[in-house]
Amino acid sequence: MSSRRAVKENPLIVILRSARGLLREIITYNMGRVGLVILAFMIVMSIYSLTTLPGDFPSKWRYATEPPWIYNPKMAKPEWVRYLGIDVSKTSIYSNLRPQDSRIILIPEDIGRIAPEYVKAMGIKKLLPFGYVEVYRVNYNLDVNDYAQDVLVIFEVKASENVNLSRIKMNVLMLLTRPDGLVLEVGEESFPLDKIRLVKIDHGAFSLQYIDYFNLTITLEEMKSAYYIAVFGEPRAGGREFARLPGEYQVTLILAYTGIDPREIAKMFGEGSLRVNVEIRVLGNSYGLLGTDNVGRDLFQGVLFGFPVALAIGFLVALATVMIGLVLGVISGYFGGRVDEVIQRLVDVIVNVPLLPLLILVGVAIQTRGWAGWPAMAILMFIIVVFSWGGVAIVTRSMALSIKSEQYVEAAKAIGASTSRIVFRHIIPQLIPYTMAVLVFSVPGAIIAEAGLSVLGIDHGLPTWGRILADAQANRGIAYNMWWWILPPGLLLGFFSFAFVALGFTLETIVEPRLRRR
Amino acid sequence: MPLDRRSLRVIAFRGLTLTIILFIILVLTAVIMGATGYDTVILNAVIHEQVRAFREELSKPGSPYTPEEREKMVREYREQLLSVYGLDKPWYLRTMSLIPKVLVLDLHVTHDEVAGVLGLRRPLGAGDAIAVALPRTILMITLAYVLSAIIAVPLGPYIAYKRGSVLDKSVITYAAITNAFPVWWIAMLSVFLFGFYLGIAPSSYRPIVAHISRFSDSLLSLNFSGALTALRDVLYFSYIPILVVTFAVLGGWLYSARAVAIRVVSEDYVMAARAKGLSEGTVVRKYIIRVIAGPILTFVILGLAGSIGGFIITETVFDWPGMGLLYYVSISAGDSPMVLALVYVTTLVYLVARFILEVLYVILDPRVKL
Repeated sequence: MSSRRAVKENPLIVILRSARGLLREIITYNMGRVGLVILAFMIVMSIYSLTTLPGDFPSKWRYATEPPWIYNPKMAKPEWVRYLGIDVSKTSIYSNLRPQDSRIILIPEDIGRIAPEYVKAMGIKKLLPFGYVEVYRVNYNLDVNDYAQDVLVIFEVKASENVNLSRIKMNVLMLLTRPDGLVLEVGEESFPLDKIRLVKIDHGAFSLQYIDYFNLTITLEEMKSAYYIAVFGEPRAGGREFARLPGEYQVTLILAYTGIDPREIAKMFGEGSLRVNVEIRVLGNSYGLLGTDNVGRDLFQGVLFGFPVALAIGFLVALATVMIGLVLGVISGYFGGRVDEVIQRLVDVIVNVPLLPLLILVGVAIQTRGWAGWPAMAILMFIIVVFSWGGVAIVTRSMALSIKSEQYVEAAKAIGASTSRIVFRHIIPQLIPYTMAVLVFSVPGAIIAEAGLSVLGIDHGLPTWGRILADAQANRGIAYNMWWWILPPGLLLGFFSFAFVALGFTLETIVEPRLRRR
Repeated sequence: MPLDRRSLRVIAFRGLTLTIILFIILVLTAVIMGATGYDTVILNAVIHEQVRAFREELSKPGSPYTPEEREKMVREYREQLLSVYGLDKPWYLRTMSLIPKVLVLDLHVTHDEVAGVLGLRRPLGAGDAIAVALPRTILMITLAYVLSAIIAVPLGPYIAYKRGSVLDKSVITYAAITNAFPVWWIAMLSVFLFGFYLGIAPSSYRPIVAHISRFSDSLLSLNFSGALTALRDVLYFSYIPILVVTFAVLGGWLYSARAVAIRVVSEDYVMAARAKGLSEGTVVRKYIIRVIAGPILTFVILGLAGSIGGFIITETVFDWPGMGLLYYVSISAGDSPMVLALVYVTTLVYLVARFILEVLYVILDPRVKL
C-alpha cells in the first residue's frame, strides 16, 4: 500500500503531462496546427489588448462624438493601402510643437517680420494679431492625387494655480500656404484660456478671399458644401468643379495672447507657470492600421478590444454549457428511473426551444430597461447556457448508460465502491475526451450569437466584433463602401471560430478512432 | 405494413410528448415576454406617443372643447388604448389569454410596423401575415436547403467512400470554413461585393415584394409574357441570397452526410460483405446506401422543416421581408401576439416533421418496437 502511495503523482503534473501529449498529437494534424496557430495569435492579441487599451475603453467607444474620436479623420482607409499604390492622403500628427517665433507685437506691421505669410494673405489692414504672439509652422506633403479632410489644432493648457486663465484671451489664426503659392486664412477663433476649443478649417474664414482670388461665379453657400475640396484643390469652370492639388502645404498657426499686459504673459511662458501644448493634425483619408468608421473611431482599437472578450466569453459559456450537460447527462444515465425521465423531458423542451428568437426577446427586454455593459452581456450569455446543454446531455447519458453496464463498473460496485467514486473515477474520466471535443467546438457559439444579436440592433454597449459590424449595418448606406469596416471584424469572427472548428475536428479524430484515416 | 398495438402505443406516446413540448414552449415564451415586462415597456411608449398626438390634435387652435373636456377625452382615449393593448390586465392574464387563441391562429397583428414590413396594412390576421411571409422565405431559404440536399445527399457519402482523397480534404476544409463564418456576415459581404462594388446584384432586396406579387398577378391573369419578365426580376432579386444561403448551408450538410456514411463504411459487416466476394456495386447499394438512407433522410427533413422559420439575421441583413424579418420586427416592436404565433407555427412544423420521422422509424425499423 505504501509503495502505491509513493507512485501516486501530483494530479496537476499528470494533467499537464497528458495535455502536453494531446498537444503533440494535435500538431500531427494539419487542421490541428492551423487551429493552434490561430489560437496562439488570439491569445497574444488578447494580452496586447488588455495591456494597452484603457479600462474605460467601452464607454469611450460608446460616446462616439467625443475625444479622442473627433480628432481622427472620418471614414479613413487603413494607412497601408498607400503602399498598394492607392491614392489616399496620409494623416499627419504634429505634437509637442515649439513655437518657431514669439515676440510682443504692438504695431500691426511687426507681424510681417515673424509671419510674412500673414501679410500675404490678409494685408496689414487688420488689427489682429497683437499682444504676445507665437508662430507655429508645420509642413504637410500631400504626396498623392487626393484631398485632405481637415486641419485640426488641439490645445492643452497647463498653468500654476495663481494664473487667472479666464483673463487671458487666445486669438487663433490658421493660415495655409498652398503649393500654388496662394496663402489662405482657413481659420480664426478667439477664446479665453479656461475655455479652450478645438480649431478646425472654417469655410467662413476664407470663402470670400477664395472666390475673389479665383474670380469664381459660385455663391458662398455653394462653397460651404465642399470646403475641404476647395482648400486642397483648384477650381475649374468657375468653381462648379475642382481638381486635386497635390504638393507641399504649410500650416501656419499664429497665436496672439491678449487680455493682460503682454510682458506679463511672456514672463509666465518664460518661467513656465503657463504652458500651452499645441498639436496640429492634418487629417487625410487614411489612418492607422484599420482605418476609421463614420465618426472617426479607430477601428483597430475597436477590433483589438474584441479579442479578450471573444476568448473569455467563448470559453466561459462553452465550459458552463458542457459542464451542465455532462453532469446532468451522467446523472440521467447512471441513476435512471424518475430522475432520468425528468431530465429527458427537460432536454426535449430545451433542444426544441427556438433559441435565437428567445435571445432577441430577452435582448430587447434588456435594452428597453436601459441596461448596458457587462450585466447585459451576462444575462444574454446566461440564456445561451440555459438552452444549450441539451445536446451534450443526450450523448453523455447514452455513454454513461453503456459504461454503467461494463464489467469493471459491476466489479467496483461489488466490492462496495460508493456511487460518487464510481461516477467520478470510472464514468466521468471516460467521458472527458468527448466533452473536450464538444467544449472546443462550442467555444465560438456564444460570440457568434452575440454578434448576430448585435447586428440585429440589440446593443449591450460593449465594443465587440459583432458591435462594430452592427454599426456598419446600421449605417449600411455608407458602410457598404468601406470594406475596412466590414471585413476585419467578420474575418476575425470567422478565424476565431475556424480555429476551434479545426481543433474540434482534430480532437474528434483523436478521441474517435473510427474517424481516423486508414 | 400493419402496425401492432405496441407500435401504436409508442407512436401515441411520442405524439403526446411532442404536443406537451409544444405547449411548454408556448407557455415559456409567453412567460418570458410577460415576466421580463418587455412588451409593457414598448407598449407604454407606443400609447404615450399616440396619446400625445391625440392631445395635440385636440389642442389645435379653434378646437371647440374646453380644457376640462379635453382632459377627459384624453383620459378616456388612454384607457381605451390600454384595454386595446391589454395593459389594463396583469401580464399573466394578458399573455396567457393568447395561448388558447394561438392554437387556432386567432390572433392579429397589433403594430403597424409589423404589417408594414410585409408591405401590408392592419387589420391583419397573424395567419395571413405568415401566409404572406412564408413563400418569400421558402424562395430564399428552403430553396437553398433543397439545392444543398440535392448536392450533399449523393456527394457526402461519395466522399466518405473516397476518404482521404483531395476531394475529401477540400470538402472538409470547405465545411470548416462555412461552419466558422456566420451566414449573415457572408450576406453582408455579398451585399458589399455584388451589390455595391461589382454592381451585378441589388443592394437592397426589399423590392422583391413587388416583383413576386407582379409575378403571381400576371400568372393568375394568364399573362405569360408579363409573368416571364416578372420572373426575371424575381430571379435578379433572389439569386444572390439563394446562392449565399446554399454556400453557407452546403458545407455542414456535406460534412454530416459524410460523417453518417463514414461510420457505416468502416463497419465490420461491410468488410465481411467485401470478403464474401460480393461486387463493390452490391456492397455499396445493399450494405451502405440502405443503412445510411435513414439518418440522411432525417437531417434533410428536419433541415427543411427548420428552414421555414427563416434566417432572422440574414433576412435582416438582406432586408428580405420573409419569416425571419417578420420575426425580428414583431419582437422589436413588442407585438406579442405575432411573436407567439410565429413561435407556434415554426415549432409546430418542426415537431410535426419529427413526429412523422418517428412514425417512419417505428414502421421501418423493427428494433424501435421496444
